[in-house]
Parts: sequence; C-alpha cells; structure tokens
Amino acid sequence: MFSISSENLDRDDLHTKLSNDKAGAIVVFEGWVRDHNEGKTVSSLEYQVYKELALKEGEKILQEAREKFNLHGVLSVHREGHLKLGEIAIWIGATASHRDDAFKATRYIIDEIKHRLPVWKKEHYVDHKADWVFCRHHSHHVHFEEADFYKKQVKIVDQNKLKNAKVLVIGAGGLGHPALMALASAGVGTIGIMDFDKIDITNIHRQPLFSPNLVGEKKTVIAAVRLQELNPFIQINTHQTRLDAGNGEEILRDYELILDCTDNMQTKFLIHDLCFKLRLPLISASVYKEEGQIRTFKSGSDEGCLRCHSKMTPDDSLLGNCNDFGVLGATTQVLGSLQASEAIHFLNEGKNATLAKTLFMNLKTLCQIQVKNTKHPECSVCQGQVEIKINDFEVGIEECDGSFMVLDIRELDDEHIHQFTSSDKKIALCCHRGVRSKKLAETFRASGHQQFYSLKGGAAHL
Amino acid sequence: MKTIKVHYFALFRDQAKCEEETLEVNCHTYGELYLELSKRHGFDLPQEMIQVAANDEFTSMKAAVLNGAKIVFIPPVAGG
Repeated sequence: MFSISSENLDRDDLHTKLSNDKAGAIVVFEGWVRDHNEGKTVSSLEYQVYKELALKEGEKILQEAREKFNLHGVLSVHREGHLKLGEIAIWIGATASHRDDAFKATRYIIDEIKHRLPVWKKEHYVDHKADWVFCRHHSHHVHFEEADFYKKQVKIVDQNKLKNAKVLVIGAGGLGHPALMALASAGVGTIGIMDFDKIDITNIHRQPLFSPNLVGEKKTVIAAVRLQELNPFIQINTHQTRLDAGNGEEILRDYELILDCTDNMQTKFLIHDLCFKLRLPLISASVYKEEGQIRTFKSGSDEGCLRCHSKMTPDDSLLGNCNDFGVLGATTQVLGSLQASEAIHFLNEGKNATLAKTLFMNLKTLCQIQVKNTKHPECSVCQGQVEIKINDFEVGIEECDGSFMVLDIRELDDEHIHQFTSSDKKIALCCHRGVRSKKLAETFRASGHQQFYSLKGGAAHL
Repeated sequence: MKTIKVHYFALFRDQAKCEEETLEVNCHTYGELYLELSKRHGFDLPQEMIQVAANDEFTSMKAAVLNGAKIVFIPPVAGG
C-alpha cells in the first residue's frame, strides 16, 4: 500500500506491518533529509504533493513491483509538509522469498517514485533563499543523450548559450504556456515560472499545459511538472506569488532575461520599470481579441522604453483583459511562441527583431505593421533611473488577519463606504478586480483615513 | 491643410468601426489630432495612455503632424 503522511514516520511500525512467514528477505529503503545540496547548506525541506494523482501513481508503482519481482508484501509512505534534517522523507519496504527480488524491487520503486510522482521539494538553505528544486536525477531515467535532444536545432543556435541562460516567465497563462513550452523544449537551462493563481476551468482552452482534472491546483507547480516531463535536462524554479514592488527586485535579479506574459497594465508597467532599473532585457507581449503586439526592451540600448514619448500610466479599469473581451488560444499561442522565438534569438545573439521594431499583428486579417522603436534622448527611465513605488496598502487575502475587516464593495456605492471612515479596524476593500478598491483606498488615505486597504486582485482572485 | 492616413488597432478599431481612414486636418500636433479623433469616434482613453507612431516610427504626442504621414494611435493592450 502506498500512502502520503504529514506526520513523522515510525519505521518500527512500518516494518512490523510487513511481517510475513513466507518471506525470506526484507529490503528497506529510507530517504532522509540531508544537510546539503549542490554546494548549499540545507536547513530543512518542504514537500508539496499533488495527492490525488500521487496516491494513484504510487499504488500503480507498487503493483508493478509486486508483479515484476514476486513480492509477498510491499509498503511505501512519502512525507509531505515541512521536514527537519534527519527525518525520513520516504520509506519503502519490500518482502520476497529471496533477497535478490527484494533488493531489485526496492530499487525499482524508489526510482519510479522519483521519476513519476507529482511531488515537489522546496529546500530551505542556511545562507540562500528557499527554492523549489526539481531533481535533475530524473534524467537518469531518460535513456537518451542530451545532445540528441537538440540535434535538429544546433545548426541554428549555440546550445551552450541556451543551456547557460536563466529566463523568467511572468504569467503562466495564455502567453506563458507556449512561451514556456518552447523555451523548455529548446533547452533553456534555467527557467523560472511566476504566477500567483490557481488553475480555473476557463483557463484551459488557451493554456495547453493544464487539463480539467487539475482545476484548483497551483499554476506554477503544474506547469513545472509538465515542463520537466517535456525536458528532463533543465532546471525549473517556481515562484507562486504575485509580483509586486516589494518582491520584484529580489526575484527578477536571479535571471538574465524576462518574458512578460501577464494580462494587466499595472503588472506590465511594474515589470517594465523593474527591468529598466535592474538593467534586464524584457520581451513583452499582449493580446486584444485577435490582435497581438510584441516588443523587446533593453536598458542602455537606443530603442527606448514605454515612457520615452508619453507619461503612460496604467489604468486597468479603462482597458479590458481576456475576461472582458474574449480571446482565442490560437492567438495567444502565436504571440507566446513569438516571445520564445525572440527570446532564443536574443540569448543567441544579444539582439532580436522586436528590439528594433514593435510588431503588431492581426491574426484574423493576417495584417501586420512594424513600428520602429525610438528613444527620447533625455528619458530618465532608459537610463535606469526608475523609482519603484511600494504601496503597502494593497494586501493579499492571506495578509488579512484578525485586525482586518474585509468589506465587499461590489454592491456598495462610495457614500456607503464613507461610513467606515470612523472605524477603528483596518478595512480591506474588495471589489471585482482590485481596481476600484485601490482607487478608493488611495482617496481615503489621502484624506487621512489610514485604516483603508485594498484587496489585491479583488474578488476575482479569492 | 494636411492629408494624413490614420490606422486603427484594437479598441480604436472597435470604436472607429474602420481599420483606416484618410483625413484632411488642420491640427498641429498628434495630441491635437487625437483629441479631434476622440470627438469624432468617441475614443475614451486618456491621451497619456496612448502611444503614437508616424510613418512606422514611435514619436511624441507633441510632435508636429507631417503632411502625408501614416499615423497609428496605439492603445495599450493587456490581455494574455
């Protein structure tokens, strides 16, 4: 029997369960939490398990071992949650009439579990920030040469440049999926996936890494698993969080190229400004119905930025996103693939076509225009002088503890909300998408009512 | 009088109900032209959010309208 446990494992108890007079041997394998990995000192571990699938797959593996190696009994438990150094992460025991079968079966089970089970490991380090790690050891299972993987593309690109590259894709949605798939398949050595959201049934028509049985799961985690299946030779990092002015720099600075695959203006401008501040190249795309646009930004280049010619200010309430205007998967897939293609050329040559020109294309009429990117000589953003404003009055639902009152303002007009200016409690305003609540919180705060906060993303993200 | 050709994309195309039009105008800057077109077609995005390209190059709303120019007002789009 295969099971997942959030409690410390009792090895004696497990051992006893396998007692069997027919058996001439038991082989037990224990995986432990060790104190180091790839040169870093590990302080603890966290396992996240996609339980429904892991239980089914685990049971299947044990059944396979049972048949292959004539076992009398077999038992395995995988831990989930937070584990301290020295704790048992996985326990496997197999009994057989003869030792050879028991040895082979245990080896088979641990290899298959490592390879097939949807289990993710986050390592907490002493001197580094914690990160999700995906065992490269999975690739032991792939009986292919890495070089053969890329045989059909090395005449076009320098594979080493791709292998050494670190690319962050922000937004695991309609644009993010095709971009991620193409980058992973091409062998970009380190890929970061950033998204705060969980899979919704309305995502799936344009997000091919997801399927209906995964609704409710974390987007980054599932995307990472699928990509690792596509290419076992690469490293994938997940950042299951919303990008904001507070966490942006720390996350982005670990990468050398950023792909903006997000769907709202506020985030797009934040990414744009962060990239100029950190001097990171950025490939940005957006879609409106069957139209799309793509542009590459590079700080220090002569091709300018979004703020060169106008004081553009994002305001999502004036624009639509995919929820409002409708979108086809075929459209986002073209634009997302283009982002990946531009990223690969950029990594290979340090430049690409959309650095010089913004491409606008209509996937219905197949009309396209290219507009030459130009720079304003005195633009301060282009020179890296960007102030990233941290607004601490936008809060996530997880930050709303007992000192907060969450106020649903979707059906309330401004006058009603004004009554709460006399409240002693902190008030997190919640509207549809976090746009109106943000404006209101700003207005109230400007007139001295510091108890007002805005719920990030609004009800749409609850 | 200057003769110009304006191309519309995304939101603007929906609001103007055409992909392009040729116009005779008297305005000096692209900003003024945008205001004129806003009245004509009901564009409701504030000027600060729009980019403008003349003859396939990004330029400033304050720049002078060139006779014979191909002009594109580019609304920000955010979908993905």
